[in-house]
Amino acid sequence: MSNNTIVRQRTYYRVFVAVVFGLIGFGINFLNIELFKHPNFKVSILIGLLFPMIISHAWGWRYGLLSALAGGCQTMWWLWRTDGYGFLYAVPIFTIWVIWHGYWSDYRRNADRLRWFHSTFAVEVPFRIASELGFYTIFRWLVSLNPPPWAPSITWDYVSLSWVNMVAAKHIITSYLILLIVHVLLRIKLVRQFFGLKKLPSDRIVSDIYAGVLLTSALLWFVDSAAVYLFFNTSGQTFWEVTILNVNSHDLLMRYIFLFVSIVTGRFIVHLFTKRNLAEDALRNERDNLNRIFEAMVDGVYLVDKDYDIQYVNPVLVKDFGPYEGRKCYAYFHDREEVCPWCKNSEVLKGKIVQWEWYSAKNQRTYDLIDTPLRNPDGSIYKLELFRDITERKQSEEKIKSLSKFPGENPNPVLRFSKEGQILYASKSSEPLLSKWSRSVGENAPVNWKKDIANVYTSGNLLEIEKVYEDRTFSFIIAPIKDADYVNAYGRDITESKQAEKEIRRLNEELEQRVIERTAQLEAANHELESFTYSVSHDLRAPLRAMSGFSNILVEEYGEQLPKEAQRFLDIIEDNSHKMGSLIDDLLLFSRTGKQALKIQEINCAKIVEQTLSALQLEREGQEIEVVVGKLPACRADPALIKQVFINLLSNAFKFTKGKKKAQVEISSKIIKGEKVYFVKDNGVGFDMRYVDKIFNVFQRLHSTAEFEGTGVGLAIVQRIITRHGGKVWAEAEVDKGAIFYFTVGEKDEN
Amino acid sequence: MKIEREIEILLVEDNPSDEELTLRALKKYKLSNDIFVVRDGAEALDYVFGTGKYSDRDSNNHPKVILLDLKLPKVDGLEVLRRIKADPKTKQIPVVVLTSSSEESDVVESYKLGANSYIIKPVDFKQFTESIRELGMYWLLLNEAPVQ
Repeated sequence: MSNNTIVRQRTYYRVFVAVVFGLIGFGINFLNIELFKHPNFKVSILIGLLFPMIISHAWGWRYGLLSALAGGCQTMWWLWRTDGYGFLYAVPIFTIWVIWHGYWSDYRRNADRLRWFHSTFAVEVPFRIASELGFYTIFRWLVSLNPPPWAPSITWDYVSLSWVNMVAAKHIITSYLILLIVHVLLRIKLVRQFFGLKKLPSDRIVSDIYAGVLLTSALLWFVDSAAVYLFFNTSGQTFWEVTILNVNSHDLLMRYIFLFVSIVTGRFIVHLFTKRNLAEDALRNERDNLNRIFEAMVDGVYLVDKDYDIQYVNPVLVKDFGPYEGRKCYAYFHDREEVCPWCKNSEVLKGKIVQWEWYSAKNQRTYDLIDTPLRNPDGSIYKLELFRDITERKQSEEKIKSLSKFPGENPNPVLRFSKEGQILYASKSSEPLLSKWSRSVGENAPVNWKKDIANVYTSGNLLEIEKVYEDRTFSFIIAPIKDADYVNAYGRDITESKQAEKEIRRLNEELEQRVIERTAQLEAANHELESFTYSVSHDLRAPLRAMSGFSNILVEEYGEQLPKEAQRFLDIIEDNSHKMGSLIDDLLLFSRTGKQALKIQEINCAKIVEQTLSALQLEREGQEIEVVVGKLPACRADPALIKQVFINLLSNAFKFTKGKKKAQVEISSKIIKGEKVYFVKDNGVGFDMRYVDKIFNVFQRLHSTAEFEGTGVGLAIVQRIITRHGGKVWAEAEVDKGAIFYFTVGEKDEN
Repeated sequence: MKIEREIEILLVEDNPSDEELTLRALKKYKLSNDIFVVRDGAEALDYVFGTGKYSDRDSNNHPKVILLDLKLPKVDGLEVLRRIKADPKTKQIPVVVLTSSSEESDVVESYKLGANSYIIKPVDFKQFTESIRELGMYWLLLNEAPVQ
């Protein structure tokens, strides 16, 4: 709900209540309640006036006026009907009375400073004086005008002075009574709540006091009634007659007096009580406020007196240093048993303000302390110390300090230039450079640098330049910095690395030269070897041919003339030259297998074996051999050389199964430990495994030539080829049972 | 078979043993009546081109086949082959390289240079004579010689 709405609602409430009270007052006045009646004297209190008056006190003169006009005062004409014109004075005066107190109630509510003469009872005085003076004069004059046209029977047109005096006195008493009642009522909590007035401090106590007072009076009234009824009942009245209905004048008066005195006493007690309470409350408020401030503070605060006794420590410090009651400051903060040598308390207490930094070993924090003297109301002086925890700040300061040293610690030159080329910063390591330039920080860099700097700044790109100073070469990187109007330059002495580069280049050239030389040497050697084999193949064969040829011719031409023995010798010659030829061929092959470059490619081993078998068809003519070709997977190897391997192994197999009734040769493969292993198996004569290491040697044979022909180079060739492929070749055999020759081509099965 | 006509073989061979054996073989199979032997590469070229020693020979009269050994003194066999095959007048002459060398490079080079055939002289005499016979049979009798 907005404020406006609330205010409006309140206004409606108040207007309503004021009008209602007015009407109630109007009605009650007709009851004509008399407080005290004596043949010569009666006090009738105009209870109805209470209602507008309480409104006036609660809500101010406007509502009071409204209430009065609603009827509270208007009944005067009926009550004072016997006065004739006289009531023309009464009604306005009572209305003004209500307004008067309403005004002062407002004043009290809004005033900054209230003095005793602002109170209800005090402001009543001038009004009462004025109104009674008016009573003496205006009223008497009005009465003299009687009878009025509406009441012609009123004959009273003269008011005696004594009568006026008495009535004036009555006025004074009744008005004060009304004011007192209003005042008391408005101090009672429920009444205040009804009128929407804010709570006063010590509301409850005050209410209780008044309640007590009224109860005491009521109690006394009844006790007195009881006493009269029981002990002083001469005329035989009933209890109720004695209490209220027909009280004798004296008793009534005394009871009223007691009630009045009790109320006044109650008021007085409340006054004293409130005064003290107010003071206490004010003090407590202040203290609470202060406490709240101290508790809410992030900084530490403490008070110490001239005897080093701690008077107060705020919660922040208590958290770190513990409870402080009854402790000395040097013990509490510094764990010392006597005054600290650096203590500045005396200085501060003399009136000086001191600021200093302190590191607390107790909680490892650094504080910025400010000491001020605090003068107490009683004249004593405390030291007030404010603790500001600057640990983090100091740490970041340290970090910044050490970081700021960072560029300076760089052994390489680090510089900063403004975009115009002014040297803004140069690390210590830049000094040689600066001295070369004969410039210092704050001056401009040399012209060629300025150009580069300007380039870097405008383009926003890094620039790397090489400069030579004295005999050292430097590489500088000039780097633009984002959103800054300066550039940084980072230098590096690259003299050594440049030399190293030169050295490497030189070595490379040398190496290349050497490689060329070596290659030439190797090529020459190769060439030599080639011509050697060429010679071998060509020149060694020619004499052999002659030997073989002519011995043949001998036999042919002169065979008949030669004795058998001679023929046999010639055969031997022929035989041996034949053998020599084979040896030469084999040796050539052997050397070629070692020298040729490997042409590794994917080869179809099955096909190669097929080709080999058909090529060897001639060799095994006449032989009954069962050839079994198994799984022969493709592999990566030199096709010509592998063919040679198969040729040699197969021709061996055929050779060594000669004579066997059921010769069997198997060519297949298997996987051993993930590797493809090819093998040629025969069931021929086999060999003794004791000599297995020898069979792969050149010219090594395990059978005589008479048994099996051969040069003993075949397996050596196989081994050489396989070794060149990075594979392995090995054999297993049993005498007369056969042999198996295994080989791999040096590739690990990648499946 | 055109045996009535005189057949001409130019045998370029430096080895006298090989020469004798070849001639014997050719004679054995009655393949040669008219064989001319030169013993080095230079002489071979002189004979074919009718220069030097044989400048009085009619160079247009080409042999039916040249049996060329590769390892020759003075001018090497391959060089002779090249020269013969380079010259338009003589490149028609069938040249059979007859050599001991089984070197692949020799084979390749010979064919590159235009040799018509490459025969390796076997060490075995029987095989040798057999090769000569087959050679002779082919080149002298079976093969249609280019028109002169």
